[in-house]
Amino acid sequence: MSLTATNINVSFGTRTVLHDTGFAALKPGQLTALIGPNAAGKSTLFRTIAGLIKPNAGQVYLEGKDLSTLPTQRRLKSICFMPQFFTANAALSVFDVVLMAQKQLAGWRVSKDDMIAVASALDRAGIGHLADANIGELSGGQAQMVSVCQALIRRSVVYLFDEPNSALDLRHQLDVMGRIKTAMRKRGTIGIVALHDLNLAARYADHLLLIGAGKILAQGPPEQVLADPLIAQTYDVAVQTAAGPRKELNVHAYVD
Amino acid sequence: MTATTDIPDDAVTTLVGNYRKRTYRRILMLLAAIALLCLTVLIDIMTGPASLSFTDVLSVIFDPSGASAQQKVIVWDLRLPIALMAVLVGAMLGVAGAEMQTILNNPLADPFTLGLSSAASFGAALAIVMQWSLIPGAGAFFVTGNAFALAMITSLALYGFTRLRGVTPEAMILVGIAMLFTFNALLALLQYGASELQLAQIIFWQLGSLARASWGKVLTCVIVLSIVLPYFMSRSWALTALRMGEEKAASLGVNVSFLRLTVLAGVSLLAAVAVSFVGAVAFVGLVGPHIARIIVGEDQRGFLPFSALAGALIMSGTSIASKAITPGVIYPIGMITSLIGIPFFISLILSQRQRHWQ
Amino acid sequence: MQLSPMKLTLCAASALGLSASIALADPMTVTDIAGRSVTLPDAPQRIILGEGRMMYAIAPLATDDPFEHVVGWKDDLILYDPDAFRKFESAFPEDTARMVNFGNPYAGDFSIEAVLENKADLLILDLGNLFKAQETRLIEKLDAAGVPVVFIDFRRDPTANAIPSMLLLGRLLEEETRAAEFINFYVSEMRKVTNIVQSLPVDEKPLVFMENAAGWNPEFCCSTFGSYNYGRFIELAGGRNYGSEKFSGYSSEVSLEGLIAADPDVLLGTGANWAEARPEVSATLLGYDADPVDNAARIQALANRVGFKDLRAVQDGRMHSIYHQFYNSPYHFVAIQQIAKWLHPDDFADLDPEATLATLHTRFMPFKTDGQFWVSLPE
Repeated sequence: MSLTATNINVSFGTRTVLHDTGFAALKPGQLTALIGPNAAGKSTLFRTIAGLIKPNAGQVYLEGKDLSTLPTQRRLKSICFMPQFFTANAALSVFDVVLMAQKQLAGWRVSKDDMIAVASALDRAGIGHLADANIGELSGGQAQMVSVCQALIRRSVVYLFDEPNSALDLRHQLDVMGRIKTAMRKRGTIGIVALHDLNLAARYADHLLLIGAGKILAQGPPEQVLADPLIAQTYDVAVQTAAGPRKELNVHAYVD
Repeated sequence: MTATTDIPDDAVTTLVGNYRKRTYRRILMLLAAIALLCLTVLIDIMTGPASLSFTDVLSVIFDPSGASAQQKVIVWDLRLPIALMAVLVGAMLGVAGAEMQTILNNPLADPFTLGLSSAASFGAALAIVMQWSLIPGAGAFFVTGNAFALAMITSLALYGFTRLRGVTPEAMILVGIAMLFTFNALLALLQYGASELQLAQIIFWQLGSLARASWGKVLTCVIVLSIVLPYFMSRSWALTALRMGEEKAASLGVNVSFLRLTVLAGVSLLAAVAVSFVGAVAFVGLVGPHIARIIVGEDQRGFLPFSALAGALIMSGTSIASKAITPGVIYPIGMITSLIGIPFFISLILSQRQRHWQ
Repeated sequence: MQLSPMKLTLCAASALGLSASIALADPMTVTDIAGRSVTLPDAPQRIILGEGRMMYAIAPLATDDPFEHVVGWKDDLILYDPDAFRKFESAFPEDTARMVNFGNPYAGDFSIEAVLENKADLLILDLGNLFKAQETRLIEKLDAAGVPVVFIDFRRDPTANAIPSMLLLGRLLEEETRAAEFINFYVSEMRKVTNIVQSLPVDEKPLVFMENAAGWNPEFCCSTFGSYNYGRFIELAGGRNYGSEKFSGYSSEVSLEGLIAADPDVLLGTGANWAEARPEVSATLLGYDADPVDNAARIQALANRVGFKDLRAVQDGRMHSIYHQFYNSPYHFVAIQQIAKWLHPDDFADLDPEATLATLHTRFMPFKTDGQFWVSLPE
């Protein structure tokens, strides 16, 4: 089982966002970080994989099967996309919305197992105290944690997280990345996380995808991609990697 | 993962307990609303210009053979259809409003603001003034038939509009309001040419009336509700998800555009039937869902039935009030829903805001 | 002194000529039914009727040539009382053919330009539409164009306004003698009922329900009159009007259940030939072209409606239907006579409304009466 994309071309009007690009097979159980500067096309690539955008050309394959041939419902079920933001003024509690994800949109009856699953997911995410809070009252960071919780409670084949920790403090950033990585490994599912922080990418990702100006520029293990001069070019900075105090890979960027 | 579900720790148990409590509270509120509705229906059936005692009415209902012809007519042909019609139409408008607000993500959406009610009124007026029938062979019911046809055409137009690229829910509301004004203007044009009799009938149409209730209409409402409601219920998680925004819902596996389309079709059917039977009742489809939202929240499993119940309660209460003002004289229900509903609505909103301030 | 018919005619002609010359010399100032004082430079020669049914009132005054000074109207007579229209049409085919349809005076399709183009010198409106005329500034616009407007009324408060309206029309049409004759007839026919009714004790007055345009909307019952128009006719004819006891307005919708609960002594309904414009009506089609066999079936069908079947009035055979357009004409005394006869058959045994109607036509109308103007539920 693997996820690949070939010759994806997406344009909005006259503006082309993704230029005939693609990536080689992403493996189950691995966490891939999608890195690249602002407006490189990260969200568009995610939406295209999730089937929310129809590409002008190109295919996404899961297990060798062209996803565009799947019925919308099946496709949405096997690919879980967590958008960067959600805004809601709905009268729904955090427990409600996570339960909604747990129920996979089917069946009125909520079993004891469902409730325990939701409660433990919230508890593990450290947002048990927010269970009864209205989703409209959450801070940006809290909303992000709820979103991750919603995504992880679903049983999909592919998980796409669009900057799941952009609004989180340091501790929660590490927590969230750790949980996503563990979940992917345990479930044997394919995970892609769009990240800005190259150090987080270096530490948690098994695999990196570098995207710049609508093209996937590099793909491979972190130490290989981060060492690639394309990184410096793409981000328009000078990059140096070094081993951190605990043997982790550290990325240092300089504007010369 | 199985390990955690097998031995839930204290925190998890507390969370589950809290959720249970909230679920029980919702169920309790639903039951209370059902009880209240039973009470209003009972009052509706018990009251009227003809003085029939409680036991009289009960015996006519459960043992019609022993009742006089007039008692049978009053209970079986007049009071029961009107009381049930109030409940059904209220429920239809409540559900229609609730799901319109959900799919358009706009608290102002309801059959009235989207122009369906005024389309129906205009259709009726076309029949009353111009003698134009949009449904051939509708016979004596061609006023109702016209109202239905025009409401449905308007829905289809809105429908087509949602399929256009880049149409936001806000734009939908604007189109709806444009429709509302267009049909009101056309209606005014027709009114100018109308005779006294026609005018009286049009005005009654615009303000709504339960007096035209019949068993046939009650049955139609039951059939329509029993087609549309199960579908909405089966999509309740998806509809709940839609309240978190289109993209979020899609990310949870909802086929948003298909859901919007099918729900709009259901809503149109509900609204068109309701409006073509009782005329334009402005307030119920807007406020019923708001009351439901404040009391049970927007989890559709509670929101949907409670919107129906709230709508039904408003209409049932209106039916009682319309009889109580001057016995024997019929007041338009649209007038009464506004008069008693709006102060109630405003007080609800104010009490809600106070809770946020604390 | 014995005058030959010829001399009488000459005499009348010279008198008319004299009044015409006086009118030419002096502008005419009249007070209309809205209480407005209107000055006309001259007796109007080209009149527009705000409603075609105003011909009901003009015909008795200018019986020989009722359309002489009329240039146009609204087509309501054609639409709502086609029978009467055909009567006028067969008597004055050229006149009805030349009538300009000005449409609704309060709607956009009524064009002041068309009024001017037809050189109209007077617009007659119905009092019930005074508010609308003020709201749409119709009066001001026409005043500015030099076309005076007067209001008459045979609908809002017909028993109070019929006489002043006829007097006013008599002056405007310079048919004051004729107006006096008609009013004399009107008063004497009204007296035939009111003289007897005023001595009736209250407890002998039956409770009467008048269904306005029964069967006009086959899906719905009931609209009724308050103490106005037909409601007032019932009171003058010695009945208690159900609507007057329920509300104070002109008309309202009442619940069938309330009617069943009150179980009135007599049920009345109005009907006219609406079937030509609205084929689905279940009303009695009363009027000049009415078919008694058809109407007997129609009133029976009205009596068989749910809730009506078991009413005392239906069981006792005291359900009747009467010509709707009496509600908008100066002939309502005929309706009042017939209602009185229905309510108090013994007291009015000698009263013959059929004869009154026939006399009205021979003396004041340009055509004979035929057809059917009321029908009772067959035994």
